[in-house]
Amino acid sequence: MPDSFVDASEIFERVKRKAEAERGDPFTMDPEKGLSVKIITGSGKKERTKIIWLSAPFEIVGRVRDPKSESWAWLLCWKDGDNREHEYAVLDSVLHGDVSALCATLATRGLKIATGPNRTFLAQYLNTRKDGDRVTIVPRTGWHAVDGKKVFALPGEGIGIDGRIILAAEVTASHYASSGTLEEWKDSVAKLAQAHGRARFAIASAFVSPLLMLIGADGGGINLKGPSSIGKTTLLAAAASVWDAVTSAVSSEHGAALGTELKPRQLSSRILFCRSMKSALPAPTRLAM
Amino acid sequence: MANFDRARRHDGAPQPTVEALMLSLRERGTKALEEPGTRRRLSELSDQQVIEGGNRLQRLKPEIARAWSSAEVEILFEARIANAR
Repeated sequence: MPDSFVDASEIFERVKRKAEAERGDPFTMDPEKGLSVKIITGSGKKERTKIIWLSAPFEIVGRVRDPKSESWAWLLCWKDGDNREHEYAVLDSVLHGDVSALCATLATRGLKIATGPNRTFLAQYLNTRKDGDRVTIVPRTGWHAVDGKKVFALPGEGIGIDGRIILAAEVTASHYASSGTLEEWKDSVAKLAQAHGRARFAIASAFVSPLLMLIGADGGGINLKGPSSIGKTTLLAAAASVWDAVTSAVSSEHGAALGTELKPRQLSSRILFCRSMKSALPAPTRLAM
Repeated sequence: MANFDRARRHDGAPQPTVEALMLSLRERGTKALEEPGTRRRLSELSDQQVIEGGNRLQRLKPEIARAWSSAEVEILFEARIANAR
């Protein structure tokens, strides 16, 4: 065997890759028409080029993975017929499975996709994209260790992390909201509470919950006790304004206890506000407290 | 006919076609790739047969013919892939 012998399968693969690169990307994402693929059939004079439409336009927001660098996925974003935005993380593992099930899942969320065998090109399209911005997916809000750093996850954003963070689908409808700016909050809620010790205490309690994990302390509870109409609910509203919209936190009348509406997982590292201790909290919530 | 061509590509060409191709490549080197007959035979082979052919050409004994270099095998594969399109 000559010294310069190179396994022909290696040469073949190299030549094949080079030819594919020269041929270029067969996929086109038009912002109006959507995704299409260019197929060349035949050769020489019989060569024909066919453009096949695959789906309505969508954007690849980034590359999703969990804090353990597993469960890799592509985060897609598109607008449905009512111009409402949808986001969905397509797991890489799904691209190797039943593509029709994936297309059905996306179609349910308002993304128009070609039917029939051509939809397999959609999996090929996603599989051949270059890695984009990193997005971290976490199972719940609260503290997580990502790349050895402590990160606090909120819906749609993370504190202490570069890049986006998203929550697993089961907890995306969490009870967090934002309204106005920090300056506006300081100038309204905080300013009004400044002169009142109990109001300051209630607001401070809302800030304490995420700090407990950092100091390794257990959770606990605070009971504001007193006759009716002396401002207990107002204090709750002030404290709740730290985390979410005041109305969603304390104005719920049915069940009296907000805990009956929330899963403990949704409140990880966060305070739970209850209007009445008399109302029996569900067992999982009592445990969480 | 198209179905027949696809089946043949998958299973590969009959051994006499492989040997005829090997002979022309062995005798005339990469120049043989300019001949329509060689190009036709090359397109009839399966990927595996083409790869095996590349290895055989690199292992040719001097008393039979000059062994091909990996660069020449690369030219063969380029012709094959261009032909397949």
